[in-house]
Parts: sequence; C-alpha cells; structure tokens
Amino acid sequence: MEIGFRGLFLSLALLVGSSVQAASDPAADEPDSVLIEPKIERIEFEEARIDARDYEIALLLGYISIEDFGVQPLLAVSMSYFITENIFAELRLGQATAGKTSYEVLTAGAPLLTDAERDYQFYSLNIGYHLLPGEAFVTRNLTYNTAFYLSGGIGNTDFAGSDRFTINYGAGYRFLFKDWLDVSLDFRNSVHDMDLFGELKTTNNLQFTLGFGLVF
Amino acid sequence: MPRRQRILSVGWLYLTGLCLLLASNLLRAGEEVVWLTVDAPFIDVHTGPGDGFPVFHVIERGQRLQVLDRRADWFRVADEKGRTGWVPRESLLRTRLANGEPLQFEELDQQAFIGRQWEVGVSGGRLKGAPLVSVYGGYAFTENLSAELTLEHSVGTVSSSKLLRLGLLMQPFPEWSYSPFFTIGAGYISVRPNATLIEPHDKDNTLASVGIGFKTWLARRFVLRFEVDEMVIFSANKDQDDNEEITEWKLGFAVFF
Repeated sequence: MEIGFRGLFLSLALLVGSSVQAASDPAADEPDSVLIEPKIERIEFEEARIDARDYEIALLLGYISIEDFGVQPLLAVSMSYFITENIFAELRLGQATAGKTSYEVLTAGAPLLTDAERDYQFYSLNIGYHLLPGEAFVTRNLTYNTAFYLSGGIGNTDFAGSDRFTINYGAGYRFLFKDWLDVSLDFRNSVHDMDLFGELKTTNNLQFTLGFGLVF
Repeated sequence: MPRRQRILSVGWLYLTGLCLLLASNLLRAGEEVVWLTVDAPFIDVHTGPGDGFPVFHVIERGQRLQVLDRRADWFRVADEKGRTGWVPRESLLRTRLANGEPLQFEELDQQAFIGRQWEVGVSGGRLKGAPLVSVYGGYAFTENLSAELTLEHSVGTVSSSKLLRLGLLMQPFPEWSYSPFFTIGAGYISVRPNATLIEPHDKDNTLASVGIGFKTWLARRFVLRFEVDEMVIFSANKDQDDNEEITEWKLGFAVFF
C-alpha cells in the first residue's frame, strides 16, 4: 500500500515536474516574444516610387532669321533635365532651309548655294535658369505657375557646306498648364562665323519659337 | 527627301516621348496611396516648387498629407481636404508614416556622388586651338574605376573633327573635394574639311589618348569637371611619316545617378 502511495506520489511528482518543466520552457520565452511582436503593420514608402518630373521633351515651332538668307520656318526639338527646380540642362536640335540672298534675287544669276547647302541644321547644349519663377492669375480661381528663364550654351551649325561653332543665348517665358504639360515662348540668338562671301564675319541668327513640352 | 525624313524622325521622337508619358501615367495610376503625418508644429505649403512661391496654407502637427509627385527637391502634396501644393524636401522629412516610423530619404551629398553608378556630362573647350563641344556617359564599376564613352565635335576654321572615344578613368581619391583622375582611351577621329577649301576628302583615323583632370561635387546631382587630354592620331602613311599629336582641354559639368 505504502509502495502504491509512494508510486502514486512519485509518478504525480514526475508528471507535475515534467509538465512544469514543459511549461516553464516556453513560458521563459513567451513574455519576450509577446513584448517584441509589434502590433503595427509595415508600410512601404520608397523614395524612388515618387514620380520625379525632372525631364522635359519639347517640340518647337517658329521662325529663324538666317543672316543674309531671309527669315525661314524653324522646326526643333529640345530635351531638358531639371537638375534643381530652377536649373536645367538642355539639348536642342533644329533645322530650317535658308532662302535666297538679296544678291541672288536681284541679279537672278547663278545661285550661291546648292539646295543641300541651304539646309541649316544645328545642335546646342545649353544650361538654363528660371530667373523669375512666378504665377499667372488667369481668372479668380485659375492660377498657373510660370517662369521667365535665361539660357545659353554652345553647339554647332551645319550650314553652307561647313560646320560652324555656335554660341547661343536667349530668354523665354514658360507657362505650366499642367504638371505634365508646359508651353514656352523662346527668343534666342545664335552667333557663328561665316566666310561665304570672301571675308570672315560674325553672323547673328535670331530665332523665335513656341515650344510644347511634355514633362515626365 | 532627306528633309522629309528628318521631320519624320523629329515627329517619331516626339511621339515616343508622348507614349512614355502615357505609359508612366498608367503605371502610376495603380499605386496605393501612402499617408504621412506631420511631426513638426506645422509645415508650410507653397503654391509652386521654390522658396519664392507664396505660402498659401499650412498643415499642422497630426494632420495627414500624401505625396503626388516631385520636381527635383520639391514635392507636390495633397492634404486630407484634397488641397494640393508644394513642400520642400526638408519639410517632408518632418513627417512620419502611419506606423510612427520616420521617412528614409536618399541624401544627395558627396557620398552619393562617390557611390554613383551612372554619370552623364557635357563640356566645352579647345582641341588643337579650335572650339570643342563634348558629351560623355560613364559607368562606375567601383569608386575608383569607371568606363566612359565620349563624343566630341570640334569646329575650326579649316576643318571640323568628330571624335568617338572609349576610355577608362581612374579616380584614386574619390573622397577628396577636388578629386583628381587619370584616363586612358582609344577611339576614332573623322576630319571633314570646310567647303570653301579645296580638299579632296574626309580623313578618318584611329587614335589613343591619355588624360588628367579633376571632378568636384557641387550640389545635388551636379558635378564640375576639368580635363586635359593628349592624343596621338595614327595618321602615318606613305605620304606622311609621323603620327599627329594633339592636345585638348575642356571644362564642363555632369549629373550622376
């Protein structure tokens, strides 16, 4: 009987001990894991996912006054990168066809240039600055952001059969209709040397364009 | 005919831009909105991206805003009532996510420049005394070594030259504020005589170059760069005994990504 009781006690003790043992192990970890487990959800916020509208591609239509060769329609494209909200780098490609000089018209003689040589093509690498950022108040409730900018740079003009190193500078007014669309009125001078008439002279070629830009 | 093709190519370029724009707009439409809670006493909301634009309302501590898009360091945000305006990067850093965590933003400092991968730049200078326009793109393998592709156009009174060069650039001390570099490269030069001169034809030759220069980080993604290159044009042939050697210098700026 005694053995029976002892056996019962021993087995109970073992059972309780082992169950305490079994319970104590996770019990030792559990409070910690409960404490550490955050009740807040993870939120992904990546800077790269914010749309950066730092690029602009624009189609420019207008006129260019090619010195001695008349005023002609001009077609150009520009690609810009906004380094800051006010400073931009720009690549501009353009093309026009030169007209006739007064001499050619008056004498009706042999043309000075072939048709291919009358192609006026240029590229320029410019840096621009929004000198006067501002707003235009169209109506009481309709406001657009605008900017008066200066820009200038270097490039090349391929005209009359030769490449001509060209400096250009100008100013313009940019009107931001939407966050993805702007319109710019641009006035610019392209300066390069010409030696077509025997003596070297510096020519000023003024261009006036209206640009439609997509910002992305 | 070539003129019509040019106009067409301009048109295509524009059309491609338009498609890219539409695609990016479509992609962005599917994204979920993340709300940020203001953690400063208040932040000013400007009418445009720039300090000069007037402040037209403020978002106070505890109020929420969402970011729509950005232009350089200015962010277009909308508040809970749907009013949109612009806040600078510094203001956005004083907000928290809904779970209380602060925003993590990439710092565009000199460290970012040292760790850059891509670099695109333009420069102006002189090649053998004639004006030079230069553009390049570079890829950095490590902080010290990058590969560069350079396209150059030099327009003189007698002729104009186009150069294409592939080179390696070693930058031993990227952490210096004026960090020197050395380049070696090889490429191709095409010389076109001006129309007023009676020259027979274009001259094409290969060339090799060595160079030295420095770069310095200015601000944001903006880097200033100066370089002097010495080139050997392999022009020796049966009429000409020696190879031609020319010197070039250029100063410009670059942006990095």
